[in-house]
Amino acid sequence: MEAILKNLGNTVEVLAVSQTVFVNEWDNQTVVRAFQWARYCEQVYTRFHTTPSIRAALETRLNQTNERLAETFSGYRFLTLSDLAQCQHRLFAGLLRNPVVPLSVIKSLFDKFPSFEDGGSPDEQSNETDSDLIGFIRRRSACDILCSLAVERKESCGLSRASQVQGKLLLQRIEAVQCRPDNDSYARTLLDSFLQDSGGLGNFSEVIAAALLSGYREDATAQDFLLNWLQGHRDVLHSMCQSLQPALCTKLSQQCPTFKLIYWDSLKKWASSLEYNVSDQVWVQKCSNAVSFKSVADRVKSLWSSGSPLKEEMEKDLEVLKQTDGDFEVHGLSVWTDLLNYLK
Amino acid sequence: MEGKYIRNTLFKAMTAPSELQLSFWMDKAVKWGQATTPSAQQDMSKHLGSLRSFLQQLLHTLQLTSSATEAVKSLPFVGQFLGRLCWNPYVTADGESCSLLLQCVCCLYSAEPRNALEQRANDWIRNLLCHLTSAEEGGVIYALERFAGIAPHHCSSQALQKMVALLTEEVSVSCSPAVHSLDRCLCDSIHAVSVACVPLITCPEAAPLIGALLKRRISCGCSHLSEEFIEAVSTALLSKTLVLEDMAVIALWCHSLSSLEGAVLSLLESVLSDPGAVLQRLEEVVSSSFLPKASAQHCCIFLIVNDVFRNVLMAMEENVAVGALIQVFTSCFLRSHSAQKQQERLPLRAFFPHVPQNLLTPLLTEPSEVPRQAWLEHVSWIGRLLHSMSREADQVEEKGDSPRQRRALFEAWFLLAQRGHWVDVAAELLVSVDAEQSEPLLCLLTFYHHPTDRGHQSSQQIMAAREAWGRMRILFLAHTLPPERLSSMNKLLSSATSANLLLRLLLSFAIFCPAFTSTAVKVLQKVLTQAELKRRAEWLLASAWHRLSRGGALDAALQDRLRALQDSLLPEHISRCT
Repeated sequence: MEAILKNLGNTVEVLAVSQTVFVNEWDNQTVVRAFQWARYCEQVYTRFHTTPSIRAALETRLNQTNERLAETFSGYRFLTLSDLAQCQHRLFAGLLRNPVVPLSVIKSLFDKFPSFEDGGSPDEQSNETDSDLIGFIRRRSACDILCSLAVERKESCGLSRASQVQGKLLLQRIEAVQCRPDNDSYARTLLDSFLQDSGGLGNFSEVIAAALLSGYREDATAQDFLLNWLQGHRDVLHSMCQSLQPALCTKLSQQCPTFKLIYWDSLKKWASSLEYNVSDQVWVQKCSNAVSFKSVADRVKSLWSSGSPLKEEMEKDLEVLKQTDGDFEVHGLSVWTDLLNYLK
Repeated sequence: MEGKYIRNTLFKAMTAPSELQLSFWMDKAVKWGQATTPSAQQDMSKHLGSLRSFLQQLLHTLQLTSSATEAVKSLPFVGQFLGRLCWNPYVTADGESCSLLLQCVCCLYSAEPRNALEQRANDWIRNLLCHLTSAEEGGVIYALERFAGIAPHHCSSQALQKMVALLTEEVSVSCSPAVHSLDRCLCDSIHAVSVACVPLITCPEAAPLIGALLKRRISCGCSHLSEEFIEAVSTALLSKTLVLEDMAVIALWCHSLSSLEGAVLSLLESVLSDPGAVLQRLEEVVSSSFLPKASAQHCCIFLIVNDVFRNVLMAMEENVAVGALIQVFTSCFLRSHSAQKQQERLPLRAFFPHVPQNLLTPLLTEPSEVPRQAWLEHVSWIGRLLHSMSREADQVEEKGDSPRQRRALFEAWFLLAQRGHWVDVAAELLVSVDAEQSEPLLCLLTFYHHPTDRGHQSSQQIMAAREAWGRMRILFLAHTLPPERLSSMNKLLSSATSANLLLRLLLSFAIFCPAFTSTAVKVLQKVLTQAELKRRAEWLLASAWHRLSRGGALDAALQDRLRALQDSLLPEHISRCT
């Protein structure tokens, strides 16, 4: 075990050096060895990252190495455990970006178009052509083309194909991590990082929605876990309620009771914060990113049109609110009255 | 002198692109942009092939330039051009184009940049490669890659598989406007999907989608696949760079006549290119082409395949390799046909529409289905039937032309060619029968080898065959081998109008006569002196071996006989050593 940790540390150091000025002393042999170490690192990650005890040891060593390197090289960026899964790629990209890399090394990178030999999933069979760079570029381009096709189905509710695929990959990963017990907190940490890395709740929301709506039974446990995690992240849920399309939110409400409650609560809160502007004869919200009556009403309508059981629940709720407000029938006095009128 | 000439001609074949070509492709690259619109993709699908050739040409030119500066001087916009194409996913999704493109880019990289231009080029290239191979930080894809804990190339592979699965599902939804009255018929979009798939044909992950597109054509008559798609699939199937499931291949063949014909011709080519080697594995080669099974499931496929065979046979009469191929194909077909479920099976008459029933039944029977004692009767029946058909045709022709009669006769002959082992059986039986019994058998053989001879010529052929048969009987049953007899037999064979028929008879006697092996060997050696005859004899002996072993009739004695005969045909110094 100690040997593995030592090798890990060394590889991280090699990776760090590849991005500094010291790389100009490298020759082609060094590069070949560096890639071999990187591959080794990926294999270590793949085998051990789902075992809590070993993962802890790996993380500790990684942190120690990170700190040491931060002292030596200014501007050093800490590596996380997840980064180790992509060691070879990081090495390749780092070398390409580093202006000080000897030109013979760069040429050798081109000449071989390094076939990243399989250091990843041990269960996958890959041959030379599958794991090389050209194959990688091809596949990404293929995804781009297929994404852009306009075939649409009602069931997708405005979710792009890209989001649907990403949602499935998300679930797949959660399941892979959860296959071993005691990994719940690890899975949560991963989700937290994913959220952070996504650069904005907007994109993230779509992926989560797609994951929750994925129709396959195998995904059920992973979906439950995801919902569980979401409950601890109200900000994400609120963002989803706001940014996702009404039809999508409706579908989610039908599928997940938790989401439905939060969504309905949000809608009610927005509606109740509206004030009636007598001169313009509209309901408005007095704040910076104002929600309009129409947008709230459309969302409510979408929920309404989904039929039972949502419709009955909403109707009951709205009637009660209307009553509490004074049971007016006239327009402009109670937002609930106007909403009900809009719906019927 | 010769070397220079060769070099020059090679050079001419791969000259530098002209200005006209450069501006044409530059315009295209600009117009195509990032390939996001259906019309751009449509245009690209039509030009993908010629773009590949152009990139090959460009690469060759760039490889000959000594520096990036020189390259840019002779091809001013090459950087822009390559850059634009690198961001065009339709182009980079195609393996060959992607590889050529990147090789071109790397040609512009200078190991020792001598000026600002070359330095800039280097930086640009490194930047480009970096962007092409990494997801942007701060985006969902980057985040997902990290989250997934697998290398980017695995991630992209899985993402593509799932994407393909999604689309395959969408495409497989059946089109029934009556049921889904609100949903538009998706058939218009199917065309767009097929266009988008053209660069993906050789991408193994995309195979399910391609299969689904082809199969949809069967279930929904209005879906319209792009021509370029069909052609690309056809080519890829033949070169084995694409593997599809059975139903998809059948759908392709039913949809596109040219792809079916291509498959048949490809099979013919593989057999004709190396007949000797292929004979051993003829059944395997034919079955793996999937044509017999497909023919059994779709009558129209069978009819078209046979059409191709007919034409080839007429063009290459007496080519034993083609004959063997057709026989094996027909046997494989019949096996597939009988393996089908009772309800799904079409009657065999549907597959042989022009052959009279009384001829069809006996010929379609396998020799293994007929007890050996009944072979003589069976084959004689066929021989007599063919003879009477032939006579009828002669009579009708005397009165005037009758295409229908000629057609029927041709179809009968073609069926005989398809079931050629009955001809072998006739030849085998001729070794042991008497003069009276030999008549229908000789008629059958003559008909087989000389189908176009009519009337007087036909009778002459039969007479010649009868005489040869008589002589061979005497020869093989004699205790001594009088040299005059041997040399006259040799002359007979060399005179060539009935060479194949006589050769077949001769070999049949050699294999099956009750005389000693040494006698048979001696006769062959003395009679077969011409190289061409020896070659054909070798083939016939080899196919006899295969026929007998498949029929389970190859006992030890026959094996020894056959081996001895084969050895006797080898050049003398070799046979002496063994």
